[in-house]
Amino acid sequence: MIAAIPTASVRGRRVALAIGAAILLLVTIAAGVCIGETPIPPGVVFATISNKFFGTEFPVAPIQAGIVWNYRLTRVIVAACCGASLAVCGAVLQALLRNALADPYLLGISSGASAGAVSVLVLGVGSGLLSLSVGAFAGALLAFGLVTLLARAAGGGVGLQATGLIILSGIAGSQLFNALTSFIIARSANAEQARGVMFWLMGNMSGVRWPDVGLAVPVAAVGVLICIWHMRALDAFTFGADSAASLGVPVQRVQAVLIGATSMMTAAMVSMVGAIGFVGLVIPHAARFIVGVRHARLLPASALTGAIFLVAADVVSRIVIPNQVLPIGVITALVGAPGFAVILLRARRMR
Amino acid sequence: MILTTRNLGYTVRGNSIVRDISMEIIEGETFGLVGPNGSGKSTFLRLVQGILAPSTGASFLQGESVASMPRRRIAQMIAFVEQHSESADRLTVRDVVELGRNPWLSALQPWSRDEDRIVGQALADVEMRAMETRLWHTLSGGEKQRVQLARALAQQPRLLLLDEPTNHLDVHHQLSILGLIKGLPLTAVVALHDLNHALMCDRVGVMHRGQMVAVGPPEETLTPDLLHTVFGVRVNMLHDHVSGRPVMSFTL
Ligand SMILES: Nc1ncnc2c1ncn2[C@@H]1O[C@H](COP(=O)(O)OP(=O)(O)OP(=O)(O)O)[C@@H](O)[C@H]1O
Ligand SMILES: [Mg+2]
Repeated sequence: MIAAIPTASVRGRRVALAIGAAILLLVTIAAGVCIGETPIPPGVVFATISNKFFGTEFPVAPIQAGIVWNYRLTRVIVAACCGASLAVCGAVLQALLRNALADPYLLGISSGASAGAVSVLVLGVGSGLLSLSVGAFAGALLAFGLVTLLARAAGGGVGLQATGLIILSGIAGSQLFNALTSFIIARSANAEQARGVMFWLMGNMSGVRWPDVGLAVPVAAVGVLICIWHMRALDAFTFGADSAASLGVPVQRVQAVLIGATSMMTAAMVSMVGAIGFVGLVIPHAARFIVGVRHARLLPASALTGAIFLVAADVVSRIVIPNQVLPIGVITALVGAPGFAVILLRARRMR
Repeated sequence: MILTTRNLGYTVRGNSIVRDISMEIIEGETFGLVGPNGSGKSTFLRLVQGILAPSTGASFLQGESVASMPRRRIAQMIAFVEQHSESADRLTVRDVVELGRNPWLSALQPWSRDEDRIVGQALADVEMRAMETRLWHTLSGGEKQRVQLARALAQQPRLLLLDEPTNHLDVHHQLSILGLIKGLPLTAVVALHDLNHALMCDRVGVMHRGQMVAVGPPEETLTPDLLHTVFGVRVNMLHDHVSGRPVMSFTL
C-alpha cells in the first residue's frame, strides 16, 4: 500500500531506499567490471581506475588494466546509461500516451535504426565512410520523422485524440521499416552478414569504447533531467490531456519536448548498442510497484532500476555460456519476462 | 466581470456546436448552466477556458484574452471538474487532490506544509478526508466526483467550472456540495440537469442547440414557456411552504 502522507518514518524509508538503490548500482557496476571471461579481482579494478582518474601509480598488469579500462568499464557505463535512458523513456511515454504498452521503440525508432544499420552493413550505403552507429542513428531519425509527420497529418495536432494516432502511426512506421530490414537481409545478405545483423538487432554491447561513453553519458544525463524537470506535468496527464491542460500544463509544448527528448535518447542508445527490448516496457512497471505512480519518485526509480537491470543482464550475457557472448536482448527478455510475471502475480494479491 | 465571452463559437466539420455566445459572469456569483443533452454545455465550459480553441470569438478572464494567457496562469485562476474523469493509474485519493497544487508549484519546487494543509482542507470540505488513502479505482461514482471537486478546490481558483458535479451524488451530498460551492468566496459556473438545483443559483443560462437562449435570475428566466420549447416538458411551479422556495414539477 502506498503511504499517502509522507510522515517522517515514510520519508526516512524512502531516503534509505534511494541510498540502497544507489549503492546497489555501484556494486553492480563494480561486479560488471570484475566478472567476465577473464575474472579480475576488485583490487585491480580500483587500482586501474584510480591510476587513470587520479594519477596514482598502483602496480597493475597492463593486460588487466587494458581489459578494465578499454573494454569492461566502457561497456558497463554504457549499459547503465542505456538502461536508465530506456526505462525513463518508457515511463514517460506510458504516462504521456496513456498507454501501459508504450515503450521507447513505439515511434519506429528501433525499426528505423535496424533498417539504417542494415543499409550500411549489407548494402554498403555510405561506401565505408559511415559507421554502423551513424547509419542506425540516421535510420532512427528518419523513421521518427515519418511517424510524427504521419501522426500530425492524420490528427492535425498533438491533442488527446492524437495520442491514439501517434501509436497507430508508430505501428505503421515500425512495420514498414521492419519489412525493409527483412527485405534487405533476404535479398542481399550472406549468412555471415545475416548473423551479424541479428546479433546487432538483439542488442550488442561488445563494440562499445570510450567515444560511446562520451555520447551515452551526456545524452542519458540531459535526457533524464529533462524528463525529471517535467515530473509534475507528467503526473497531471493521469486523467488525460484535457485535464492536464486544465491543471496548467501547456500540453502541446510538453508533449513535443518530451517526445523529442525520449526519441533522441532512444535513437542515441539504439545506434550504439542495438535495439535492446524489454527494459523500456517492463522496468517502469516494476518501478511503479515499488514506489507508486507519482513521477517525482517513479522517474529516478526507473532510471536506477533500469541501469542496474541492464548492467546485470550484460554480465549474465557474458558468462552464461562459456566462451560465448549472447545478445543482451535475449537475456533481458529471458530474465525479465518471468520476473515481470512474478510482479503481476504479487500485484494481484495486493489488490 | 471575472469572465466575458464575445461571439464565442465552435464548429466541427461544418456542425456548429456552440454558436455566437456573448455573456458575462459576475464576480462572486454561482451561475447555473442548463440545457438538454447535446445542447453544448460541456463544449462551452471547455471553450471559455481555452482547452478547446474557439472557431469564432474569444473569452476574457478579467479583461485579458484567455487565448494569449499561459496555461499555468489560467489554471491558477480557473479550476475545472469534468463530466467524466478516469485514470488507469494506481492513484490514491490524496494523490488526486494533490494534483490541484500543480499550477502553483514550479518544476522542482519541493512540497511544503502549506500544500499539505490546503489539500487536507479540500478533502475535509467534500467529506473525503477519511478515505484519503483509498485507491481511486476503488471509489464509487459519487466519491470520485467529490474527490475531483476537492482537487479543484485545492487549486484555489477564483473561478470554478463544474460540469454536472452532482449527477452521481446522493441527495445529502447534492445539497451539501451545492451549499459548499455557494458558500465559498469564489465564482462558480455549474452545468446542471436538475432544474430545482438551478433555482438555487444566483443566475442561470439556458442553452439550446448551441446557443445561450436566456440568461438571468432563475425564477424570471426558467419560465414555463421557455422550458417547454427547450426541454419539451410542461412545468408546474409549486411553492414549498417549509423552505419558502419555489419548486418545479414536470410532466411531458
Ligand atoms: N468533436 C466533436 N465532433 C462532433 N460532434 C461533437 C464533437 N464534440 C461535441 N459534439 C456534439 O456537440 C454537441 C454538444 O456536446 P456537449 O458535450 O457540449 O453537450 P452537453 O450540453 O454537455 O450535453 P450533456 O448534457 O449530455 O452533457 C453534442 O451533440 C455532441 O455530440
Ligand atoms: Mg456535458
